Amino acid sequence: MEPELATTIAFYVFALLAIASSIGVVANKNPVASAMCLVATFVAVAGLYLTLSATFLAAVQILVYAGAIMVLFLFVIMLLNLSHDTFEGISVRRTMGGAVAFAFIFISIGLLWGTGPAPGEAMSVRPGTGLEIGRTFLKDYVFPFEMASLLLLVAMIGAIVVARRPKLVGGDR
Amino acid sequence: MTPNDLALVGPILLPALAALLVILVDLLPGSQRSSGSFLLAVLGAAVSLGYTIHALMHDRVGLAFYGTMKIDRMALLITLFVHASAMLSLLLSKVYLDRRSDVEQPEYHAFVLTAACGMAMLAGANDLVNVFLGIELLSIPLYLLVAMRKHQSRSVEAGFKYLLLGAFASAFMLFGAALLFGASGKTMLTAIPSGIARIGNDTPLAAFGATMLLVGLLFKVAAVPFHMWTPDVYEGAPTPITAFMATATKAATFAVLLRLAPVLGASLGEERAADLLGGIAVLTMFVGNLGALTQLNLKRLLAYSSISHAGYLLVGLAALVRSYGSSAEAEAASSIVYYLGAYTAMSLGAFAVAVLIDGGKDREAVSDLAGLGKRNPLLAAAMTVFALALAGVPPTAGFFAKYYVFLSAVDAGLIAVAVLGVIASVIGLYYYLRILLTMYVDEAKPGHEAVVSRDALVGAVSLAAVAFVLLLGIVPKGFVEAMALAH
Repeated sequence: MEPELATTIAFYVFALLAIASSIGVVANKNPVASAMCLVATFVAVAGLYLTLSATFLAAVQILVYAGAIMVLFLFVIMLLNLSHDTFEGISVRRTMGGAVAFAFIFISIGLLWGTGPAPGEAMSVRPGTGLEIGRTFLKDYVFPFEMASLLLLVAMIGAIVVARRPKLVGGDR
Repeated sequence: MTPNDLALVGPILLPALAALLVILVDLLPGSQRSSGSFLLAVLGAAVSLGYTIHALMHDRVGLAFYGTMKIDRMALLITLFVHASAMLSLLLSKVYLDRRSDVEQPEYHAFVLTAACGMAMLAGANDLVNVFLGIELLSIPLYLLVAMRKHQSRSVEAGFKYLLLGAFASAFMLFGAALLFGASGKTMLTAIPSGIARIGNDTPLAAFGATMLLVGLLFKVAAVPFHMWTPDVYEGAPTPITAFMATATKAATFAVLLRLAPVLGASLGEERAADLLGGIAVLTMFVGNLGALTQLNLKRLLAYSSISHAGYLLVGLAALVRSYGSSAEAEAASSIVYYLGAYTAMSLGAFAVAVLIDGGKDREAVSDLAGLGKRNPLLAAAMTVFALALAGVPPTAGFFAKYYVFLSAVDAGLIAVAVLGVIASVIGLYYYLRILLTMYVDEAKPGHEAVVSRDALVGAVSLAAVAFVLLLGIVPKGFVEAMALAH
C-alpha cells in the first residue's frame, strides 16, 4: 500500500472516531460515560496529529489530555455526585439552536468541500518533533509563550478568588 | 530576543510587572490589604502610562520578537488610551470600593493591571497567536472583575453571562484563526493577504476564517447582533470596571480590527467586506440609540450609548477597508484612532460622574441626577460637557470624532452609511438631552438626592477629562494630523 493512501485511510478512521465519540459526549445521559467518550475523542485527535507526523504533540495529547485532565474531570464528576440523570429534556429553543448550528456546519462543509490547498501545500510540513516545537516556542513565539504563563497565573488566582470563603473580604486580615 | 525587543514591549510588560508586585506585596505578613495594593496599582498604571508617552514622544517604534509584535505609533496611541483608562478606573475604584466592603481589593487591582497588559498586547499584536492571547488576557481578568462582588446576584449573573458568551466568542475566533492559517499558511497578519493570494484564492476558506475571526472581535466591541450581553454586564459590573470595559476594551479591539483591515479585504473582497461592516455599523448605531431611549438606569443608558459608539467606529472601519491602499486610507485610520481617544475621555468622564453620585446604594437611576445643577454646579457642568460630547454637539471632541468618521465614509463612497449614521446620531441626541433636563430642570424627590462624593482625586480626574474633551474639540485638526503619522 502506498504511504499516502495509508495516511488518508488513517485520517478518515481517526476523524470518524473523533466525530462519533464527541457525539457520544453530548448524547450520553451519564456524565461518567460522557467523560469516557471524551477520552476516546482525545485519543482520536492524537491519532490525527500522528497522521500529520506531529509525534511529540500526539504523545503530549495522550499524556496531558487523555491522562491528567480526564482524571481531574472524573474526580470532579464523582465528587459532585452527578451520576444521576440531569438531562433537562429537549425544548423548542434547544432544538432551534441545534438546527441552526447544524445547518451552519453543513452549509460550510458544502461550500468548502474539495476547494482549497492540498494537504502540505499551505505550509512546508516539518516533523512535529520536540526539537522543532522547542525552537518554535523559544524563538519565534517566545513572547506569546511567556504571556501565556501570565494568562494561566491570572486564571489560577481568579479561580481562588471565586472559590474562597467570604470571611476575608475587605479590610485588613 | 534583544534588549531592544524588551524596550519596545515595555508598555505591555510594565502593567504585568505591577500586577505581580501587587499580588506579591499582598502576601507579606502584616500588609495593609486594601490601601497598599491601591497605591501600588495606581503607581504601576502611572509608570506604564509615562513609559508609553515617553516612547511616543521619542518615536520608539519598530518590530519586536521576530515580527510577531508591531509597535508602531498607532499601537502606542491606543496603548496610551488603555493605560490612561486603567489608571482613571483605578482612581474611580477607590471612591467606589471605599463605600463597599465586599470586594477583595489586591486581586481587583491586579486584575485591572493584567487586563491592561492584555489590551496593550492586543494593540501591538501582529500575529494571530498574539491576537488570541491578547484577547484572552484582557477577557479573563474582566470576567473576574465583573463578578468581583460575589454576594451580589446582579454582579455574579453579569460575570457568568459574560464568561459563557465570551468563551463562545473566543471559540469562534480561534476557529477562524485556524481557517485563515489554513488558507494562507501564515499567522503573521501582514503576511496573510499575500499568503491568501498565493494558495487560497479559489476557495471560500479564507472568507470563512475572516468572518469567524470578525464575529469574535465584534462580540468584544459590542456590535449588533453580538451586543445582547452588553446592558446586563455593564449594569452588573462595578461601575469603574464598566468604564474600563467600555473604553479600553473598545480601543484595544479596534486596534486589531485596524490591523486586520487588509486581511478582511483580501479574504472577503474589499467591496463585500466594506458592505458587511457598513451594514453591521448601521444596525449597531440604530439599535444602540433606539435602545437607549427608554432606559431609566444610568449604566444601562451608557451601555446602549457605548453600543451606538461601536457603530460609529465601525463606519470608520468600513471606510478603511473600502479605501485600503488608496490615499484615503490614512485618513480613515486616523479618524478611528481620533474617535477612540475622544470616546475614551468622554465615556470615562460620564462614568466618573456616575461613580461620584452613586453613594453606595447601587441604584444608578437617571433620576438620581435630578437637581444636580443646583446642588453641585461644577459636577453638573462636567456631566453636561460629557453628554454633549457623547451626543456629538460642537465644539466638543465628540462632534469632530463623528465628523471625521463620516467624512472618511463619504470619501470611500459609503454615502448611504454616512447618511444613516447622521440620522442615528440625531435620534441619540434625545436621550443625552434628557440627562441635561434631569440635572437642570427636575427637582430631586425628597430622600433621593444624590450623595456626591467629595473625593478631590476623582474630581480632578473628571475635570481633566473635561479639559481633554474640549481641547480635542477645539484643536482637532492638529491632533488628527499627529494621528495620521500613526499609520
